[in-house]
Amino acid sequence: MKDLIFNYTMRLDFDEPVKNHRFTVKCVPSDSERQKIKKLDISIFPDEELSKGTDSFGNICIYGSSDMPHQCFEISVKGEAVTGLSDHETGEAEYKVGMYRYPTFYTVPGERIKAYFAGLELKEGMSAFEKAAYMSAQLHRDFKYESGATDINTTAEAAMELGKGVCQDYSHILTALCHLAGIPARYVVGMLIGEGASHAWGRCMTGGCGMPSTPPMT
Amino acid sequence: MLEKGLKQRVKALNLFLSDIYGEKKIIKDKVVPEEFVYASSGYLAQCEGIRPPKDIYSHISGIDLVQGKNGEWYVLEDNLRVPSGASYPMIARELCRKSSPKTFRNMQIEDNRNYADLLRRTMENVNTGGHNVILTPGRYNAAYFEHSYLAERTGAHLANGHELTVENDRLYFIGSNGKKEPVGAVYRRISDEYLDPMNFNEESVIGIPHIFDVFRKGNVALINAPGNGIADDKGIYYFVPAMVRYYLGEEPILQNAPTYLPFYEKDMAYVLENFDRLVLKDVAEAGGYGVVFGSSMSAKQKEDFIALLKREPRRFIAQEVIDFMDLDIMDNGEKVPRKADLRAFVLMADEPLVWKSGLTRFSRNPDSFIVNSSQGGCFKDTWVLSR
Repeated sequence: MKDLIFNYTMRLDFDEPVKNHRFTVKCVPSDSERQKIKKLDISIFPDEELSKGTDSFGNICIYGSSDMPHQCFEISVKGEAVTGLSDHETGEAEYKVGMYRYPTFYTVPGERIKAYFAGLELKEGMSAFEKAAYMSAQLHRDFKYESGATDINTTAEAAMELGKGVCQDYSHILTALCHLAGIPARYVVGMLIGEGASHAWGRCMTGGCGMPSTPPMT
Repeated sequence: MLEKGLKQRVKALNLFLSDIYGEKKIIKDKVVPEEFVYASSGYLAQCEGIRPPKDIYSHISGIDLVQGKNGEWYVLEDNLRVPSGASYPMIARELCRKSSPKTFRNMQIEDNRNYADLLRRTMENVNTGGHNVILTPGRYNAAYFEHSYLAERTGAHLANGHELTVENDRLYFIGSNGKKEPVGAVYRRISDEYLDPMNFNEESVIGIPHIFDVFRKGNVALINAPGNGIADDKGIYYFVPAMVRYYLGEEPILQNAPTYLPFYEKDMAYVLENFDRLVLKDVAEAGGYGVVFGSSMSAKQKEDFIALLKREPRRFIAQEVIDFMDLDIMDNGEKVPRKADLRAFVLMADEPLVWKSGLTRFSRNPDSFIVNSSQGGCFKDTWVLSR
């Protein structure tokens, strides 16, 4: 168990004042089996009208609008969390996992990813957890970390063709590989200690013993 | 019989939608294979876990039927997203009544002028408190006449996206004086994709930011609910009779056109054996695209298609070609037979209501089976006899 203090700020500056602004932000940590949020302080500018909700993927959303002219948008989320309460999460109900067995726009496997998957040595008798960990390690070895090679719109297949990219690309590819191996997997964005910026990883749902979401690139 | 069958089908489709975006028992019980749900473009993950007011998803359903030469009715397609066309028979009847009032005095024809009442009842049933609104993309939309006509007849506000706004998890209509009035139900005539740029296509300028968040909180009814595309998907259509048995424990009254899923080995064998007399449809396509007749393929095309079918069996359905009934139409003053279908409207209010009319569409082209208005089809008034 570890007590952590976290502090996240995001700021957008606009060239000229904007009005009729509508926004949704998803950057508030939630409680889970692995962490409890003890203290939470959120401040947003502009804050004329705010609502809070949870989307269908379990993310806490803060959304709202501002009709007054403003030249910047800023959100800051601070607080304290207890982490390390468990090294994995209990498997979710099967009906909540089904959708994570199928690709989204970014994770549709093309010929490159299928060929890479075919070249992996997944052995019979390996557990889903072992398969996911193995694929993550292989990908870490074969895919080169290089910032600037891809952008936020790059698909898993396009990144695979390039052979290089950033955490988002690793995660998309790992997610696609897991799908091919029959393992439900989803893309996650979050925070790592000392990273200083948001980080992405693939979350592989390996049944009762969930994989401790190891980022494939770290 | 048709009325009973339509109510039964729409009830089952609503239960299916509620199940799919909820606990998915029909998948767990292996009645519908999960890949037909999750791999379909009609399934919207954003709708997971949302319960619309009164658990109604398809408030207005357009069920397309044809009558075979054997007299049997078949369902060709369910339309559960934004089925259009109800205003046309309303107008056609109005004109017919004016030109020949006697016909309607002497014949036992069901009065169809109650559609607006049925629609209002449907909106009121799920209204969460506030005005009823018909949301239109605007006057350049092909169906704008229908939007404005239905608003006039139901007393709902006709609004475009700019006239609606979200504040504190409520939806408001901005009147001409700038005053904001709460909205309880929106009969939206724009597709899911464009409904809310914060939750769906972010480039949409005709939608209302955050309307989907208001819907998620149960503070407004969206008619029809987002995500319905999963239930009128071509692949899912095959399973509708099974849904009726599964959810209602009844035998389906209405039949599908005989359909085969090459996904199942037994059906694949049948399709390969009878390839030349079947029509094959790509489940991802719509509007008449991705439809091929086995009989019209060359040997090479057939070979390629079968290879594709074997590679991606989930992508296609195969159907018997139904020789459906002709209807007489007037063409340049001459009475000629043409292919026609019937879109029946089923409204889900406090109970399912079948409108005793419908949209009869026919093809102008003597050799065509395609009745869509976008492809040169026309429509007629539909008389339901009360005797």
